[in-house]
Amino acid sequence: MSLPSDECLVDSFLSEGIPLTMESAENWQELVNWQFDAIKDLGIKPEHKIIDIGCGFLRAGMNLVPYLNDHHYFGVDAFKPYLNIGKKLLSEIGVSNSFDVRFDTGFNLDQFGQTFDYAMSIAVVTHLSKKQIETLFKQLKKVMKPGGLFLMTYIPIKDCPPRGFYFHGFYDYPMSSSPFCNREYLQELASSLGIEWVTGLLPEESPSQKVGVFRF
Amino acid sequence: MSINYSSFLLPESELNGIRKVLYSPTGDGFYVLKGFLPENIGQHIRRFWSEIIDTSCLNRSFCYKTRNEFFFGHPNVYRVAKDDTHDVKVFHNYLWNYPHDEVTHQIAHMVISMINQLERKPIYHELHPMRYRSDEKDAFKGCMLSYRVIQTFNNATVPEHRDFGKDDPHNCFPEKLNATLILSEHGKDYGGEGMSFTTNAGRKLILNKDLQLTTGDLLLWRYANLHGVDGVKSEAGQKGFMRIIYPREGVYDYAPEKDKIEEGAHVAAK
Repeated sequence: MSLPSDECLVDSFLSEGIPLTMESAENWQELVNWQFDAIKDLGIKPEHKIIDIGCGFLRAGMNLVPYLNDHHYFGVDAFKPYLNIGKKLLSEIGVSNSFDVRFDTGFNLDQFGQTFDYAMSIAVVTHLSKKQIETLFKQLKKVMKPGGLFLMTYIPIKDCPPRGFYFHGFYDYPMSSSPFCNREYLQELASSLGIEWVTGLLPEESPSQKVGVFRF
Repeated sequence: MSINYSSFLLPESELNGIRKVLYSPTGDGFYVLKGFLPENIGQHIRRFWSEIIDTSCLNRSFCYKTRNEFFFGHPNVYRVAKDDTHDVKVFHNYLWNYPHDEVTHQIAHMVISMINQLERKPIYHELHPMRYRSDEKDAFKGCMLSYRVIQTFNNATVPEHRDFGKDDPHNCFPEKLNATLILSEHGKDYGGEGMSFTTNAGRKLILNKDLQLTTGDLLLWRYANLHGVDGVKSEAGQKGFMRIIYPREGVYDYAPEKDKIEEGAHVAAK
């Protein structure tokens, strides 16, 4: 399955009022491919089910929806325009497999009535409070199958305070960056919930962030 | 009472139509708001900067040799160049200074906040300079938007160039826009050429001339597209190609030392 062209990506973003440019679109395929390669390296097969938390404009879905069996890709995101863009892009490249992505701000992962073999959350936890990260892990614990793997990326702690901002300048989507998130914190949190931080399955760097893998 | 939080925002349905023209690979990369200013306002601004302002009492020195490198509180600067290749007057205005003309100053705020909304930035983004955070050393984090009144009589070549494009990876902000508020009319106030601009699809236009822009029209355009100014011609007594642009300036978190002020003094006082 070929990915949408840069032109198609730019126009899909513009249809939701986001001025992506050709210059900015040039490198997006690198991250698309990294996400797919990473989850495949963790062993995903077409019969597995995955929940993509902060699925955005379905960057992971571009490859995963056609790769997985019908109705095996699920996602939530707190930014509606991204979900619209993602659906449009999958339609543009002719993906016919069914999938289920929903607007959600509370990590209500059990709303799908499914259990999952895999979960992923790319470039999301940096925008969560500690309380939200705890909620995410607790919700995952409810819906992940025993032995299921969770792939996430994060920006490790920096010497700077949290920052609030409007996401893409949308006045109805305030967000924040809380860059307190580091390996020790995540390991401790996971351990307290009986979730294992797994090393050695993937390199610890994605193109832009640190990588964590957890086993339930 | 229907005033609320959203009342300060321009209608998204209109902004989005403009964004498509500006940013789509098949779009023009520019957009004209004809008659953006009512005639009396446009005429006031034109008259103020070409007739009323007393240039003899204006600051004529930049405080730095390098253009686009200012500190918070930098004074407004008046610059005039008249030689074989240049015949131009420029008024550099910064939003923190008490304005020469309140009308121009307020309209600058309006134009800049519209640019912000088109770029999907918060409405007051970079309207005023902000101190760096300790973790953000990049000079352009301290950018603010200014307004520059330019009256080109003859030539005054600005070679074709791009700003904030991918050829400058440290300052690559390809969504950035600029605006040109037109204050004179081709064929009436000047002849020759003017502002060249290459569209997203690669078509080159002389915007002021080809689009027959006139006083009060506002031209929005992508900074990263190839643009320049050349070939303006005017006779004695004509206004020339007169406009206001709204450039992004790098702002530094310190005042210059005295010797640097003196060093830079020759730059402007040509």
